[in-house]
Amino acid sequence: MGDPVNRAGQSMVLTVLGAVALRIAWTDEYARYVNAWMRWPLFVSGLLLVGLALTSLLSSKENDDHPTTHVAWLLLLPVAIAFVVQPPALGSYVAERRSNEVAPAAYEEAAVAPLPEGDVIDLPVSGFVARATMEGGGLEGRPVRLTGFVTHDKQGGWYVTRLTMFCCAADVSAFKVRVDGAEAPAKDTWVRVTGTWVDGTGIDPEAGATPAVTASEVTPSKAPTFTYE
Amino acid sequence: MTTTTAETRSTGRGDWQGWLVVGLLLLAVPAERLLGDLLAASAFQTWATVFLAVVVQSIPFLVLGIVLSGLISVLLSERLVARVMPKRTALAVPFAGLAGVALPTCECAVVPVANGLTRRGLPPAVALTFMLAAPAVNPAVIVSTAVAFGGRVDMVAARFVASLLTAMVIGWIYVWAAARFPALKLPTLRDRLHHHDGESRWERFLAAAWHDFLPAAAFLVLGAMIAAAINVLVPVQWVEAVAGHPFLAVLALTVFAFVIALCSEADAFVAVSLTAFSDTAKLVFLVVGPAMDIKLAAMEAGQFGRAFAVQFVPLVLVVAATTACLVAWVIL
Repeated sequence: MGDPVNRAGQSMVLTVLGAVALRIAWTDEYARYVNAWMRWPLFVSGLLLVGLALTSLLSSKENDDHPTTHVAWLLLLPVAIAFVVQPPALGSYVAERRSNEVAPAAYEEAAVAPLPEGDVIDLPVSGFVARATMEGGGLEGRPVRLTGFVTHDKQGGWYVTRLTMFCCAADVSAFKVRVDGAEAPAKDTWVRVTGTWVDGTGIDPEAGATPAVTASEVTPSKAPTFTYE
Repeated sequence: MTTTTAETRSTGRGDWQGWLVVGLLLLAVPAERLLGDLLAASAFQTWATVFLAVVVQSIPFLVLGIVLSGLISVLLSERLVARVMPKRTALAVPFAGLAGVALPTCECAVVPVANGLTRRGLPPAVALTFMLAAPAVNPAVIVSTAVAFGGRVDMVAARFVASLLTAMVIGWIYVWAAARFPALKLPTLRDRLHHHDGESRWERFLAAAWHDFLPAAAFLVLGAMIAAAINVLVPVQWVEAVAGHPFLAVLALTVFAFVIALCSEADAFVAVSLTAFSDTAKLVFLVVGPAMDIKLAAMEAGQFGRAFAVQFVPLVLVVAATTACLVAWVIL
């Protein structure tokens, strides 16, 4: 592996890397790793990489005067991981190691917008956590429906959980709401929890406090395409 | 040079390398069967997701950087660069810092661009200033910082000023010290592409793209492997343990910014969530991250030579952390 990579090897590496970009952008897999707006830039870059690799086939000249560093072989690692491991979107492993994080951006909307009318209100988990920190933010006595995956804690409690993402899966934050009054489903299963806010829980975000709901109904749910909020 | 021997060796092994790639891809299927249990472990899968996310996220920015670098190779002649730049390199440094406002991407794109600029005869110190400033002072990063900090103008201003100052100080250090201390290594370029000067613009564009992409991307992968491991293995709580101590807090967030290697458009959101830390420590995190992190260090070692990177990386870390502390003391 110590040899500098020749032009044929370089074309090969560029082609498979381009193929990974194309595949991840073409299928819904991009949603596991990056934000939605990255899809088209990723697709275009994949095309450009494959195109660049093709120029070496079309070129009539002997081009082996450009060997590159053998570190280039490392690029096969993301290729292998994308095709063999196909790692899933992040879930309980990350979320159980974090507490609710304070992100003013997520809180601004919750502070401005009043809760919509209706019997049962669908809320994002991060929005519910944000409202709870505002002394309830109008949640008192209102039935809400939260969709997320299941995480556990060491004391036997369980949480309906979502991760939020800014650019890519390296910068996720976790938002958890404890569920009271229902049996804990298996970790990482997706559920829809209907319930009401337990008065006074989760109003101190500085301490990483977690709000709770008393569940009236817990139903299994399909994982959404965009698992990040 | 070893290149000549490498060339003669590699021509004989041309097919060998192509087949290696095919072989590895074919082996992947039985490997999955054998390693199935290990591959299914949550810790490994989480690492794989974060690693792939960092790589996938940076591919479009890297391609953009390569395209810009290629355009620079084609459109900018060395004569033009010499005419536009101020005669005194020391005066060119602040211009280069402010020019960073015009490249609204995060840091992956900027290393190849700086490489392309040096290749066209821009003094290395000036290109380094541009490389350090651009990922932190451009509009996209200013906006994301403002959003993350809920519109706090002082934080946005402090980040802009401290990042710009860091880039300029490093530039001046290289202008001033390069002439006096031969021990301070300047970036070395593997190939100045001179033998392409007679060719058409399209050929020169392709040659630059071929040269720049693979080393930059490969070293980025190396950095991403380590950053993803840190991301999975080191919980934020460990870092927060020292938040109360002013000096240790700054040190901890400098190291954290270096190893976690976040995108400069996302790091403000993470900084906000480090609630246990003072604003000064958060500013250090925001100034160090875009200027230097583990994937940038790997990319710069690949593009500019290891001897250069060994001095440049610690120098930038120290200057960035110190500047951020001073700016925080004045503004925040």
